[in-house]
Amino acid sequence: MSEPSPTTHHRLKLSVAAGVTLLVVAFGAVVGLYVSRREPLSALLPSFSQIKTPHYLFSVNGPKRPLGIAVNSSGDRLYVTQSDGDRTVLAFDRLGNQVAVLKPPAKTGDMHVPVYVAVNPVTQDVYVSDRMAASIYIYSSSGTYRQTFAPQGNLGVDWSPMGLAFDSHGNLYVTNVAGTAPDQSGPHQRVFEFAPDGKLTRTLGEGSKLNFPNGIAVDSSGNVYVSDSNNSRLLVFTPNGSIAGSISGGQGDSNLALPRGVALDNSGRLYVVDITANMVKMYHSLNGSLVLAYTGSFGSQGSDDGAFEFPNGIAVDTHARIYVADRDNNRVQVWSY
Amino acid sequence: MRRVPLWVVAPVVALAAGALMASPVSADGGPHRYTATPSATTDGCASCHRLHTAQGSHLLKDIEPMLCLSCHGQDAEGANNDVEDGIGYISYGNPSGKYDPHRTGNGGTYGTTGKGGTYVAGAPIGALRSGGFSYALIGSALATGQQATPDLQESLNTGNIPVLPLPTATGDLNTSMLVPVTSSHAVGGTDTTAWGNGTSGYGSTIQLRCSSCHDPHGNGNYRILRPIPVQSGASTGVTIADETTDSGFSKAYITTNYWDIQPYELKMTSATTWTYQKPVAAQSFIPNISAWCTTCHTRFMAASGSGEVSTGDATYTYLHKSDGTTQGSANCIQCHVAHGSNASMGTGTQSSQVTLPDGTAGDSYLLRIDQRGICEMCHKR
Repeated sequence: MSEPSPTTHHRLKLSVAAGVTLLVVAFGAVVGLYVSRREPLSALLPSFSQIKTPHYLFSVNGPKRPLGIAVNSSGDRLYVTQSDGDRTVLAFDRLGNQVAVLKPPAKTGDMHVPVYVAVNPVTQDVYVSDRMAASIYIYSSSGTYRQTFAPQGNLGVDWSPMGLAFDSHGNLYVTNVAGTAPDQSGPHQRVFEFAPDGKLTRTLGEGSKLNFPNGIAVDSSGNVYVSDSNNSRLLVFTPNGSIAGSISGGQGDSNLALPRGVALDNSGRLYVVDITANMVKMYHSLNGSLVLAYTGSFGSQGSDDGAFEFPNGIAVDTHARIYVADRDNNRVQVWSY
Repeated sequence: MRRVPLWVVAPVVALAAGALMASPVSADGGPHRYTATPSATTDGCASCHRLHTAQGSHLLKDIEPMLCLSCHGQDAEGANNDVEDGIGYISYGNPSGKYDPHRTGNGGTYGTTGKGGTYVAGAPIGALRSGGFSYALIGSALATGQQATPDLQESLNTGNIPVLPLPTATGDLNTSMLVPVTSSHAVGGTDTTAWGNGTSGYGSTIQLRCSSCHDPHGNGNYRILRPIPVQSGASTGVTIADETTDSGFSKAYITTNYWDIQPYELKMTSATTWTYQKPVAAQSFIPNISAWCTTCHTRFMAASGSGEVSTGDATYTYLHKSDGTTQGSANCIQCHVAHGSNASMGTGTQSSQVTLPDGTAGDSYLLRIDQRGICEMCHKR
């Protein structure tokens, strides 16, 4: 067998050197990406053809009985309401480091409990509902109090805001849980839509006998998803106000018991937190309709990683991360695909 | 194949159908009431129960009190009464139906006409008559021990209602309103003493939970109270009719109704004005409330004159009258709250030294007023 010529030998050495260089560069890129994101390199959201269940990543410990949760458009700020302790809203970065505390205005005094929170996608302002103070407080993205939201128009009932959501144009949707009608005829609870200037533009659910509607989300077509908590159901309102979809209560896997937080991801997948089932249930629409098909759930009762004790709020960012306010475990759980 | 006789099949089918059809559903604003007509749907059941995966007794999905607090907790996400903070959410019944900026935040003045004054908070909330388990809003300092204002009762009678100081405008948070309780019924399921329960000793050891006193399915009683509280040992139940609300009035759970058993009610007279007025009818829970409380605290029931006649009981030998069944007469809730009180005993030389019946350090004993101001409410000297 003849030995390789000097030219061939040289080519071989060059090839090996190039391969090693490529490996080093690739390894450096992976390490760099990992260090910058400090999380498993999750894939983008799975398509609906992939029936995939999220997995637990880590928890942000510390919030006192967290209820509501929201994440900004870029996914680098997380806002969590605390219903215990000093009852403020905490802001965290993507790694779970606390970066700000959002306090109510001084005149609020001690009578306040922040419940739900949402981020205006147009201004990045943070809106916090406080049923006890009958207010929605508006903060800058860095946590500075700006003003109290003043709804304009005839609401028809007392102002008692709970769930918050925005559409892509910055219109604000609020679930209102005012107790009873002036004539004591029963619950008069409904959903309001406000234009960015605060004007009431639409009322949903007037004939639906909503009973403590909590979570709310709006999809890109303007359909509004509302957890009608004490009726153990979720309703989907179309832009014209009719009900085109629902998830009913009951004991089946796909049924709801006491639904609270609601979120939609970029793929249109719907997440509903069932507080007394201690899990998050997932659904997606069938063939473009608003008929919702159950695709699975995650979570169980307990205090271990991935287990919940009365979870309430939920938020999904654009990087396939799912945040759940794990109320009685005093933490926020982070899940991903 | 042998046929199963009809007399066997019929009862089985009937039982199965009954089990499916006789399911309660949500009604009256919550899961606590059965509807009059049986329904095949089971939404209401599934809110709280699981048949094979229950984590709490009575097939509850989770244990008390956390399950109850998922609606009635300090976030009040599913109810109008927050029993942790001792807060009730009320409806003003605003005739205009318009948003009113005076209601936002706290300390807003909401009208000046009639008998109205400054509402304790701008938001539609008030103090629960029962207090709270963690915090309470009782105006316990309105009659401070020996310095009780002689005219205070008179002021109530005239409708000039005193209120708690408003929050100050300084600082980001003000803690002067939600006051931690100094005593409460222990509903966590741990061992606690039902003072005066039984026939001897200080009282029985029981484990108290929300459902020990309340029937979550509803029973028509005032506050869905169980006629016979769990572990009370009572053999005869006490029924307490639910209170009524006069037409056009909302229940106003202001702080002062803690020690005025017949609460004032709030009536909107316009979009910006309101007035307080006592309800025409006497509160329906008063006649039987002492009988109900003493299903557990058995040996505390006492007629007039019991302070002078020995009961023969080694601990509870002489007793203050507690069997009042009419408006203003001495009964349990004339002096005590049911859930928890923020009354302070700490500054009273004598009051702070009162011990529990077994001699251990005491607390505020669910009293409504600081120190022993409650004595002055009737014995003004």
